[in-house]
Amino acid sequence: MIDIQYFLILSAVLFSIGVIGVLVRRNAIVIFMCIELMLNSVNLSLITFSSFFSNYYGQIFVFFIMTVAAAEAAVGLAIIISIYRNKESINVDEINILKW
Amino acid sequence: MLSSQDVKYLYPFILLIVLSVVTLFLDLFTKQNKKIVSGFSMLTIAAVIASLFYILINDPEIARTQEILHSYLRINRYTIAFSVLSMLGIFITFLASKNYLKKQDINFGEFYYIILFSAAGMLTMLYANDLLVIFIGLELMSVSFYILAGLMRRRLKSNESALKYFLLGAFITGFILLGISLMYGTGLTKGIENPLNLTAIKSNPNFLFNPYFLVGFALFLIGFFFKIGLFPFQMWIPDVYDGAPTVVSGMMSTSGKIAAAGTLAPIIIIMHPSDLTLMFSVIAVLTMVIGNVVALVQNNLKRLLAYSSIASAGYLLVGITSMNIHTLDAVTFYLLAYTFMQLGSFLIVSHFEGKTADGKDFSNIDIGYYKGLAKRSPVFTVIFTIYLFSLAGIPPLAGFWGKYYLFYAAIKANLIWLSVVAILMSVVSVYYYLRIIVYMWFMDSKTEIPEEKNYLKGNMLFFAANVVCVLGTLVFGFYPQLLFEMFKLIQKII
Amino acid sequence: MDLSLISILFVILAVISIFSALMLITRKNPVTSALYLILNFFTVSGIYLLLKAQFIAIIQVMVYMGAIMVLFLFVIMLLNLRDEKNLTESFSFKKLTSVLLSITFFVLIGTTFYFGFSNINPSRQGVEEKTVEIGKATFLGEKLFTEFAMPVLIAGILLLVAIIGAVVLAKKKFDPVSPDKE
Repeated sequence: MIDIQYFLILSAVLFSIGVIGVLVRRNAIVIFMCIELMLNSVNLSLITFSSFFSNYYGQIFVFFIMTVAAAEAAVGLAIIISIYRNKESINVDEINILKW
Repeated sequence: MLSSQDVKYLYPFILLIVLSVVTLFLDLFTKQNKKIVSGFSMLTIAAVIASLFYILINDPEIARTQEILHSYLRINRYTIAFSVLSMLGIFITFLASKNYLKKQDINFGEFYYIILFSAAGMLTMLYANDLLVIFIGLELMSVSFYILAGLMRRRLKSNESALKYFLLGAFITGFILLGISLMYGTGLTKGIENPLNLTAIKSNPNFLFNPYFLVGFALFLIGFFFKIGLFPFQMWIPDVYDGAPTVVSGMMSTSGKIAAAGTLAPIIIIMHPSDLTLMFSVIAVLTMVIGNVVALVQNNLKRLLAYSSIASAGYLLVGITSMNIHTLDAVTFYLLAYTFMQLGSFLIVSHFEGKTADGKDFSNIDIGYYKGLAKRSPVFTVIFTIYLFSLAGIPPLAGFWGKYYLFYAAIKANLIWLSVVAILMSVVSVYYYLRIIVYMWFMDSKTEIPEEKNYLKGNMLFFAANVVCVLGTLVFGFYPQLLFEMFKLIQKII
Repeated sequence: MDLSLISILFVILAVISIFSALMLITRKNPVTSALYLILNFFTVSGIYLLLKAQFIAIIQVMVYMGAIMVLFLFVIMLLNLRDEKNLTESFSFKKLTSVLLSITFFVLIGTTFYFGFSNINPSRQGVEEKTVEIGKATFLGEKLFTEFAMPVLIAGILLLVAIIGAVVLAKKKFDPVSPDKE
């Protein structure tokens, strides 16, 4: 059996790639996809803990994270559509918001 | 699984959820007339507040924390106090918002029931005794807020504020989840059956000495600091509050903040992370400095109020940092005073927002418009002046006592330097609040703006909302003990 | 790490998932990015199977790939976006800083994960059967609808709000009640 660290490090790598993507990319939809990647990597770490310790709370939590991700996807894409209608662009630099 | 004991405490929830779904259907069947929907949603919130008071009065057991539903929820007097405060903010918003919604062409039924659903999220957070439940409640509240911020779909500013709020909020959600995951993992290594439960965490005092747990807890805190608007996560607040509909900004900055702070403060008291005191103090100082100093140069009143709400979050953190028996009392009182004065100010701004005389779109939120307001609209000027004096912390008003209790709690915890900085910063804040007052009373407007007559006509509900806010500011200013007596809080201060 | 079948599978899946994540953040066409994200979700779902979380693995495929990513692709097609500039063309100091920040963050989280759980070796005997048991839909479903009934209710309301919100924000036309009608 593989050690627990390999799964956790994989989760940390995916999370960090997601963070880089959010900070570097300028297209709102791609930023949002990177956020989904981050949530997914957290799911991976929760499932890892849950599986290695035979504790079901982690899997239940992942279930709720997926629900939240679905709800956020619906609302977020609707917001992106509404801003596209007014601006014809979803590049966050052109919109000049998100000043880090 | 659901004993009658539990159901008794769940009445506010059941009422809120059932009645908000009924509101949703009412809106379907009364397409044109929004009065019914708005009236019914006010009734819903009033029923929830009444049921919260019913529990408070009829149940002496809640003096100690009661755990219900497999200890996923807990209830005590502070839970009820915070719940009542956040519902009160929503109630006042409903009272005052009708004219504003019509003015902005967003008089949808959705406005009412999305706020009701966000209220369900707030109640969930405030009741929660489990990180999972906190997360779900937080998300329900946040998703509703994203929608409300973007409700003025035709205005680019509103779209932008929704997008900014959404992207940053979802990004921060990732960090909250990573933090919860780390806390879960370290809890499991200690052999705890359900490490997401706050009771389980509380029963294991060695937890916080575990550095890995502390990393997870810090990431979790980052998420809440973002929602409350503390440095360095405050940058979204001015843009979002500026772009969102003004009544929604008022609601987000009061009810939303009460829910987040009312959830965070008990958690911090439970965990008692005394190692983090210095970090909290530094964050509080930076937040107060940023909020107050940037507010000095703001001319847009919505942005000014947003920065003042950042500063208020800093004062709140001063109180929370003390982590002693006075903390929760002080936080409760400050949030009460803050609801009246901050929401009231937003309501006044929403009243004057609209098309300017020269047809230039919506520039009435600029401070220049308020020149000579005392002559045009004396009643609202007096009301606004009361709010601003209270925000500045002039003695006999509620805002003064709010700050007094917070700083008192900090001094009791030997954080004297922090209280001194906080007092200095609130002296700085007097400048920009007084500036508005001077503009209103002692300056004359160059452009001719017609006098406002008959402000009562068609404005009854708006006026009633302001009367509630003014009365709250005055009554709790002259008799601050009332709150502690009302909720039978510990009342250890003085 | 012995070279069992599971180890080999894990290495393959992990490499593909990291590769697809990197492709996601470097492609300029959003459709390509979305497809790589789907690949990433697929490999992660494979890793869930290795961890014996079968129900979550299936849900991952159904919810993430079947619902969320289809929605993403649909919106990308609907909006008819231009390609973003190449990452190298729009190179800036700010981006370099954010990459460095993220790497620092990775080091923090990675060390926490690595050292916080390094000496964890739960006795695999007995634990393994229990792990298989809790990964099943029957077990999780029972827990969800008894113990977690209240969070499930709130999650249901969250989805309702999301539906209403999506309709309010993205609806093409809306007819506000004009003041004279009321």
